[in-house]
Amino acid sequence: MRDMTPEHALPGSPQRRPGSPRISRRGVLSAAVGAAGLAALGGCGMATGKGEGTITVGSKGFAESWINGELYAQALRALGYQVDLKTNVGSSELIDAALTSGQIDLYPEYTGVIVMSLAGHEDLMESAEQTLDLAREFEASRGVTVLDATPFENKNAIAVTREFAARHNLRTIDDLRGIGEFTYSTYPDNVSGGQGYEAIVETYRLPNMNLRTLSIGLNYQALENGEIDAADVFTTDPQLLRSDLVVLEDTKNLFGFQNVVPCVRDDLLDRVGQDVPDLLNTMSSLLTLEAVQAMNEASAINRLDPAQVARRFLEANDLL
Amino acid sequence: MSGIATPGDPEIPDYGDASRCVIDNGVFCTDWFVQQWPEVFQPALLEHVVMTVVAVAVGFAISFIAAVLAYRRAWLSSPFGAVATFLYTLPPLALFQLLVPVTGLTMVTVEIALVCFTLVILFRAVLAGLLGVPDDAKRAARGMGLDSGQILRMVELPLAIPSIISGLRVATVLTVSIATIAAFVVDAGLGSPILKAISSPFNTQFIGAGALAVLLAFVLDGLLALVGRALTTWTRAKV
Amino acid sequence: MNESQHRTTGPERTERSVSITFDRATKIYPGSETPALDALSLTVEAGELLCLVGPSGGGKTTALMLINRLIDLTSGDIRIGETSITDIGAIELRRKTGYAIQQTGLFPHMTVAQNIAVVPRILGWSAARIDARTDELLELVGLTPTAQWRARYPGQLSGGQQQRVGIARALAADPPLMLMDEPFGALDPITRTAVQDEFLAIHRAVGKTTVFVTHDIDEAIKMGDKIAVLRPGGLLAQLGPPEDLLAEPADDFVASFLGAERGLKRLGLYRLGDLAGEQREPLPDWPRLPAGMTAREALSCATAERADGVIVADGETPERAVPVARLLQPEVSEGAA
Repeated sequence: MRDMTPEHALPGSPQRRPGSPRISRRGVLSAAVGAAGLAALGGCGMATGKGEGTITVGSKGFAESWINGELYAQALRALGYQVDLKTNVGSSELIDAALTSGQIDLYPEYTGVIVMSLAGHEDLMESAEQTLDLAREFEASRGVTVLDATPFENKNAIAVTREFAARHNLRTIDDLRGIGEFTYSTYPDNVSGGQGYEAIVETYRLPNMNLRTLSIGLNYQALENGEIDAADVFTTDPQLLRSDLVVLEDTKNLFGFQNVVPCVRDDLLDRVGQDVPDLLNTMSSLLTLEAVQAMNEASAINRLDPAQVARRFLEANDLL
Repeated sequence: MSGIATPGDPEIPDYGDASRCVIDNGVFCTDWFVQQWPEVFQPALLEHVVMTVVAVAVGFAISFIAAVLAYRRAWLSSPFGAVATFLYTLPPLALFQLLVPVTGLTMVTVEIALVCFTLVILFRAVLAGLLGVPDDAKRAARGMGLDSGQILRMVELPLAIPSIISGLRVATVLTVSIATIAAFVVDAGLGSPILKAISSPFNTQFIGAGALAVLLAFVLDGLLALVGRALTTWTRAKV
Repeated sequence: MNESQHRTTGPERTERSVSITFDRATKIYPGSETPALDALSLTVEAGELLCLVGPSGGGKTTALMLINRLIDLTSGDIRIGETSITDIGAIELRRKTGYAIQQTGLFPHMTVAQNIAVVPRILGWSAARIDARTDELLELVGLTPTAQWRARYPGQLSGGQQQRVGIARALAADPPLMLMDEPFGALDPITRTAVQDEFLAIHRAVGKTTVFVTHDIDEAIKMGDKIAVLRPGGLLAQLGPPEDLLAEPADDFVASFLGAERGLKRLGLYRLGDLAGEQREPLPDWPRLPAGMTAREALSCATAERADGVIVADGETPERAVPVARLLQPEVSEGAA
């Protein structure tokens, strides 16, 4: 299973989009607790103090997902609903099981994760729209509605310094083919696997790409020090906002498409008004790459609490 | 049918700049801590106090009844003690595993687990206190015509207070500590900032929250000690 | 007839003292073959102080605890006045019985005043009444000024003081009878003597029916109006006033229990001042002793001085000589000086 538990956002380190195979200690703990939480499928799961009209929002344990969950929760409360926010629910499989069993009513998920991890598609997607359509179809077959997707995506990418890109005239990953030997870094668990080092080498035919494994948190530093030439990053890393870095285009769509969609149980939609899906769609439209990067920065660099970050964003956009 | 939303034009708030201390992950960034106090630490501290007090109060109520019963019927003390000890030795996370399917990811789960950890301490403290009442006092009380309820209320319980207070102090400090683990289940209490900060890692956040937990334990312990002193003036009467 | 003067029947005896009657009272503890108390029959008259003595296993503590139903009878009956104790509820009975034990059982967490007030409060006395009674009792047991002693805790008191508080507490609700289980056994000899004297004075003043258990024959002789000797197996060996026992023990067991100095102990029951003396001119050079001394002590003094007698010099009556022969037979020579 490629999709493992995600890790918390680290400053100076990539944020984990679910879909990366790293297991953290905390993730295992969360998985265990979350799994226990889902062991009560069916009727048991319903009995957890949900009052009439309470909306239960879920989120995973890393900052970006947490902030996302807080955005939904606080905005829904502003509409007048009772909202119960369950954070740190665990890996994609776990939180998905929570959704289908009714323990939670909605949560934000990445389209690529739905298609690849949950639905099990192996082929590469060709567009964000295609990914979204497949995700929507899959979820619909399980009684879950997928609403509008965010403009931002959080997916793997390859970044180089602006100076390096200028020197070698780099715009896309294909451009790396002609530059001679260069060093690329990623974390140890991402060497094999669908988006790992080996997949990149194969898909883009880059025999000149040499691997150096670095633990999470060290790649941005290494890039800036010149120890490595290219690094595995996530597109919403806050470091990308500030550092002098360029993200190379993934022309073959190896890294897929990872917009965020609200996944909502149909029975929730049945019992609430139209204001809920309208709000969630509005929220999606507001989550541009710039906005998400800014919020991630506030969390990872400024060390603000996810709830605070979400609140100030909502206030600024008149949703509270 | 849903599609990819057209990008709105979101107003991005100015989240300000991180201070040098924060960026460098210094040992303790006082400015940041002070700034985050009202929204992060104070609520967490208050939640933690409530969690602890509720758990100890409920645990005490249960243990008290069990201990009085075991005091009256000696054969009960072994089974009660065994159950309480068993609950105490369960690793907290294992206990959550068992509870969450039944009571969900809620504060109820947390409280049940926390109560379980107080039981053996409080049960033994109350029972030991009662058993430690001098025999001659009990004999005299009986001979004077006090019924068993009066003896319990007027003689045995007051004399058991030092032991009971001692047990409450231990149980409270223990609960403050374990309650930090509650953050695995519910995002509440001082465990929440600790947990969030450990994986990052951000020193100020978990040092701050950790220090608050330690301080809280000291304060509660001290308060209980004062209560104990107030209730046992006779132990300090000068000969 | 020849009653020693130190045992009076007290003019201010309360009318609320009752007799206690054992009627073939028997107690066999479960799992035991021999009875702890075997068909004991005796009566303690109202206002009397009965000492129960005997070796361990004699059943004296058992007998005491049967009275206030801390233990229940196997067969037979015990009556308080005319009423069988089985007709009175155990709790109610105990609240009407003063109970004092060797370790006092004072409640360490209560002050002296609070200890004394325990039973009166349960009986619903008003605070004012309790206060007055507490002061009265503290004066009675010699703990004055009362204001100072009321607020002390048992842990601040000496053994003797604790026993006195224990007695005060037992008397608090003015019960018609008192039960005392070796109350002075844990005190050192000097304190014990003082407290015994105090208690005798109290008993004279208050005159409650008292059953007093002790293993110390000398204490029994000193304290008791009557003594009941119990032998192992819970059987009554002899019952009677101390001088009768000392003069005529019923059997060898009683005799050996009274001890080899039984004769001398009997002399201790008589006061020098009560013995007839001789007016002699001139008075012999014998030791001069106060009238309050016992005949036994006088004999000891005469022996120590190698004199043939003693001079009674009490300052009021003319001095008189009492030869040793008179000391040895005090019952014959009792009479006015």
